[in-house]
Amino acid sequence: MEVDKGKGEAEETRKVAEADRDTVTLKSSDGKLFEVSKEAAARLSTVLAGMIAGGSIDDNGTDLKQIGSEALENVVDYCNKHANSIPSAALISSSISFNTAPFKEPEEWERKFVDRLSHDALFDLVEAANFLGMERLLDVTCHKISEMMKGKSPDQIREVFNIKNDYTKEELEEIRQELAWAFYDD
Amino acid sequence: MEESALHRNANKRSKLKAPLAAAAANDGALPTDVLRDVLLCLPADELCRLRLVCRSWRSLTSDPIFAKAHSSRHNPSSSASVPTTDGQATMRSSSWTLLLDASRCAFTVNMCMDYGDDEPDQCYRIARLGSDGSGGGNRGISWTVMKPCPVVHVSVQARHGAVVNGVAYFLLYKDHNTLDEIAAFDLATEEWRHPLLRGPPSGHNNISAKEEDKVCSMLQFSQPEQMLGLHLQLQYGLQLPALLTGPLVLGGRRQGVVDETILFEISICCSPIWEFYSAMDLR
Repeated sequence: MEVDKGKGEAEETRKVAEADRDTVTLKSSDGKLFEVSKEAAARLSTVLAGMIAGGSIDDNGTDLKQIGSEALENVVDYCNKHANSIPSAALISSSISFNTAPFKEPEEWERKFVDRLSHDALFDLVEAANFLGMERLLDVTCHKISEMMKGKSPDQIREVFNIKNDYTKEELEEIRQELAWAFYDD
Repeated sequence: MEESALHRNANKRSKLKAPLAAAAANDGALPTDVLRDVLLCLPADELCRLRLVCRSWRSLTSDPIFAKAHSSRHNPSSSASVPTTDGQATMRSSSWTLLLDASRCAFTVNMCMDYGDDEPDQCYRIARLGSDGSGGGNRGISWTVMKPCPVVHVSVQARHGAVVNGVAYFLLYKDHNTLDEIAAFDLATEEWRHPLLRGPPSGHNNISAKEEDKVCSMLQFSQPEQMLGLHLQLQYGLQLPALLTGPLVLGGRRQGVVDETILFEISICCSPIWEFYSAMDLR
């Protein structure tokens, strides 16, 4: 640690101290501060890893203007829980290229983690995960949302996801015919 | 950034500026790249239903890159084990899944494709079973209406078939008291073959494609995978060690890949109505 620094080197001391801290402070859009383990943040979020490596972490709270306090709390909560679960190398590497890697099912604690969230909180969290480049959290939240879609009719989906039906009747009928096989089991 | 992408439950969304990959196309509830990740989690049959939600969802799920990501995620083993020229087990056009067989022919749940060795320009010729003879609809591609099957009325559901060496086979369901028959359509000559082949006893019948010009049919495909493997082994003497132990559902139909064989379920049923073949050139 930086105990024996000379006089007048306060600035440098502060920098060293910052580098040596094992947590980072994140600031939500509404100004609330959250602390999260630097190791977990760097491991789980490509964006935070980049900021830590690039020295753009602010000791007084790194501004994350895009993320509300509720979502950020969930992000931090996830990081902490993740740090406590056994880190799996496979899990981390598989998240890098979702295009080719088969999806790894959410673990029990991850499932519980997203299950308790309200609709809005879940959607905020998925956007936060996306913004922060947290691939695993993104996988888990996306998986949860996809489960909300399963078995729902297009009408129900539109309602839940607040989407306007921009098809004409004729177009719908045409697509329906094209896709008749998908409805065959009904 | 497009805030329109974020207008779900109205309140407090506008301050968000998530990175949007293709914001312009998305008028749904989530940023496009997130929505894409969500949709990638879903099985193909669910995805097809969701095309009815809105235009942007349809175009997103119809994108070839999306389709590729989806198939590698949901069926990672098959892309390696199917001996096609491009190494892919499945391809997708805008709304169909194509299943390629070892002879470089393909069949989809409602479309047939042939790009045999004798076509140096690699021109894709696609045959599709449609209910009105018009085929491709609004895709901006002109279809040539072809002769309906002269022998039988092919039902809508008979689009489920198998392709072996450029010939598409369809199981034809008649009634519960007779044997089913199999109609064969030659993709190269665009002719139906005569006479009809004899099918299995009626019931929940299925047909599968195997290399080396064999078409076999089987019953009760919908049973658990191991049962199916056993059944095939008994009835057709196939060696199916690793068969059907992994996830097999693709395109809403059960499908498996063993060695150089693609097996997939075909469901046939319903009232006989006239149908037509359509063909088109993609290039």
